[in-house]
Parts: sequence; structure tokens; C-alpha cells
Amino acid sequence: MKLLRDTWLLFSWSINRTLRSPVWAIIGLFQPLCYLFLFGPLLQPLSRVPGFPPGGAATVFTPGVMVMMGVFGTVFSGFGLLTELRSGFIERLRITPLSRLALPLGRTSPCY
Amino acid sequence: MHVDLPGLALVLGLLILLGLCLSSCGYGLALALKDENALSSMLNTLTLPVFLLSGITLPLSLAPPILRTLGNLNPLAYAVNAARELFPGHIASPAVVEGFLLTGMLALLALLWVTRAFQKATA
Repeated sequence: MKLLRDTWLLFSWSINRTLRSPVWAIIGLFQPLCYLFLFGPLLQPLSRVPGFPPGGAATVFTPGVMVMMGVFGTVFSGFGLLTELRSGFIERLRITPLSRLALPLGRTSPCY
Repeated sequence: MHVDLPGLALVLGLLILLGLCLSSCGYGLALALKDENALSSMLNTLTLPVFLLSGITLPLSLAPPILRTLGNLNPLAYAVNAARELFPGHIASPAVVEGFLLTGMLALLALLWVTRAFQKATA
């Protein structure tokens, strides 16, 4: 219960910051969309090659783009943490009884 | 292109697990390195081979044997295979179970690692 409450606290704080400047979410969406629309059609003739998984180029490529969106959207979240480290947020966390497992859980959730 | 809604919901679940795992790895690295330049070069160096060997851009079945073996060692390839099975709706498939189990285990390990890193950083 404490974990859920702590996660919710951090989540609402993170999501308020994200909602204030949604530009980053749009930029994060840009790379997967480029891959989907600029690279995807190039796989059409390749889908006739015998080694290609069944289902057609779009059905094979789109889940890959979704996974890529998950990967590149979340891996670079460490930079936000570094900014907070420098600004002393993490220092201030030392005196709070916040559950330490809530820290990654609460910050990851707004990435979606 | 035939899209299946329960399959899509499960793909989103898989993405959530994957995001938990990878963002925890990102935080763990950030806490260990503490420097933006080092973090940026380290992340780019680590994500590029993982991304290329996972079968996202081109399916690994088209790759030469050595790249296919390396792809089998890459956890992201299992997640991509699971997503590829779930997308048109083949929910009960061994690739899906493998992908979820592996991603779930890695997410748990990564969360434990980063919790310990946060405990050390805020001790």
C-alpha cells in the first residue's frame, strides 16, 4: 500500500511536468513514425523472399516499430534523472520515507 | 493489415514490462555514471547493437547464421518475436510466453538493481 501511494505521488508529479511541455512526447514519437512510414514501404518487395516471416510487410514491421518506440522512449530517461541529481532533488529524497522502489516505478509510468 | 484488439492490448502490456526494464537500466547507469556525456555515449553504444540484432528493422530469419545466433542471445529479439505473434492475434504461442517471461524477469532484476542503487545514493 505504501509502495502504491509513493508511486502515485511520483507519477502525478512527473505527469504534471510532462503535461506542461508535451513537445517532448511528440518528438519522441517522431523517430518511430519515420521508421514506420519512410522505411516500412521498402520492405514490401522483401516480403516475397522465402526467409521472411509470414503475414505481409506491414504486419511484420509494425510490432517492431512499437517495440522500438518502447525502447528509445524509455532508455534515455536517465538524462532527466541526472538533471534532478544536479538540482538536488535526490539529496532531498534522503530525508523522506519514500519507498526507493517507487522512484523508478513512478518516473517510468509517464513515459507512456 | 489485420489488427487484433486483445493482441494489441497484450503488446502494450509487453511494452510496459520492457519499458520498466529499460528505464531502470537507464536510471542505474545514470546513477553510476553521474555525467551527461558519459551517459550519452554509453547508452548509444549499448543500445545500437541491441537494437540492430533484435530483428526490428529486418527480420532475423533473413540474417546469416552468426547474426541469428547473436540475435538468439538478445532479450529484445524475444520481445520483438512475442510482439510479432501478438499483433495479428496469435495469442497462445510459445514465442509470446517466452517473450513475456524473459521481459518480466529482466524487468524484476533491473528494478531490484536500480532500487539498490537508489538506496546507496540516498543512504
